[in-house]
Amino acid sequence: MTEPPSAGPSAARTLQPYGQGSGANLADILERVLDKGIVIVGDIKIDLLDIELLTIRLRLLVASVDKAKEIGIDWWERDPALSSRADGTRDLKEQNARLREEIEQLRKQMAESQELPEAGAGSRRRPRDRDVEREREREPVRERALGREPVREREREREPDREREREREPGRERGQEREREPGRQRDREREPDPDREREPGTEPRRRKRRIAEDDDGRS
Amino acid sequence: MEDQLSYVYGVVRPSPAVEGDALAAVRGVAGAPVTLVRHGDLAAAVSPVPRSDFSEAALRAHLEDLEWLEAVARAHHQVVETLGAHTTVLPLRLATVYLDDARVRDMLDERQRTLTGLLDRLADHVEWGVKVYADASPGATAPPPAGAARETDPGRAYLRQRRQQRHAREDAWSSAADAVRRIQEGAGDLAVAHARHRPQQGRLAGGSGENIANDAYLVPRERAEEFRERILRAAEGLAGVRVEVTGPWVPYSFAQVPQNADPQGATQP
Repeated sequence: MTEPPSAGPSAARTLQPYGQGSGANLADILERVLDKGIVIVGDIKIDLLDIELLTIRLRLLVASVDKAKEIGIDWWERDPALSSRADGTRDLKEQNARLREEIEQLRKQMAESQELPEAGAGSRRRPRDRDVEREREREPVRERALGREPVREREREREPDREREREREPGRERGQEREREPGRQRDREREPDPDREREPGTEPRRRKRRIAEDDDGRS
Repeated sequence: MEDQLSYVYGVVRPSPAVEGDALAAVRGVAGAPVTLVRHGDLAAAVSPVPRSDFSEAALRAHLEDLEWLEAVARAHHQVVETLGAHTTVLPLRLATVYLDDARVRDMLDERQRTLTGLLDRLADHVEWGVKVYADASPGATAPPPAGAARETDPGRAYLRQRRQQRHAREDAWSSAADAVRRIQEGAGDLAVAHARHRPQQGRLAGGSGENIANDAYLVPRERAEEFRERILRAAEGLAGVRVEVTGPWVPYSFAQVPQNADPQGATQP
């Protein structure tokens, strides 16, 4: 909150008149009037050293959060001692992105390391890509909530899933249970699929493919 | 005056300018008028304040109330600044309260030598606050190597990221330390005194990073602008460092009475 430079030495005084409306440096003002200045013991003795800054900070929380925010003080939002949300939303977004990526990586690895029996047909692959897409939007949330369980869970569910697979027509009305379909990874193993090498940057190509499929699906 | 106490803002050498122009317009703590209480060639800027708010018990309670504290701090600061715009002022610490104006005169009498010495020393000087922040957030420092994004092993990628964060932090800190050093060098011949304050933990909106140095410099008034520019230049081009110059302030940080100067107080070069 650097103040604009004052008029300079040519002015009678370089001290700027203190603007009433400026609340930008309350922290600095408090620091100076509470801590600095000449200490002369008055008749009313008050030991300001008792008033730890922490107390003031906590009071600020209770007293006037909105007012403080108004004048631009919001450190408690990011102070781990005062806020459980101290991570800040930005950090959460980063974490989220990172988790998604890691989950994606884990999936790939599982797919590569799993020996899967012959089931499912290559023709199903493309509709399934749509599920993959949806899955990627939903999965991280579940994963986060359940820790590592879901991976094992998916393994348990693989069998029934495959059963269902065989009974089902590949169609647009597939329900959510298909969301956890691991079969797609099988297909990827089986035939060269450009998606397999998918990097984050190749999203657009996948989108195009999906649009094409949607047209297929309707016809 | 039974229910009134005398709140003292600061000490000045009285002059018509101060009394007429400055104090007529300003309102002090609790909206009270500000007057000068003279004694010899010194004067204290004083307001009558209600005993109900400034007795010992009341103060103790009030100082815990940030809204009250803020209002009083701003009023105190405003009076001090107003005085400072006209003359040299010794700001007293917040909530220095006497039973009545007679007691204020006693204080001026008792401390005449000290106060006069300080006024002489601080005459025509301003205080600049210089804060250095280390900002280790990504983007503040060098971008990560391109290979990191293509890492296929998530564990390794994670560890690598952690390592980068640590490096970024270390880099930011060392740049900041560098900035502090440069600033001190730059300030060397301009500032007549330097005080180191506790780093601020409060974060102002828009600010980022960690305050690693919170200093005050006493600079002759005629070189104030030169000082400010030099400080801002000293920190240019350092990644992950933000330098904030506040002021000019009335020399709060250098109004120290020598005998009870705290170890963190002003040092004379």
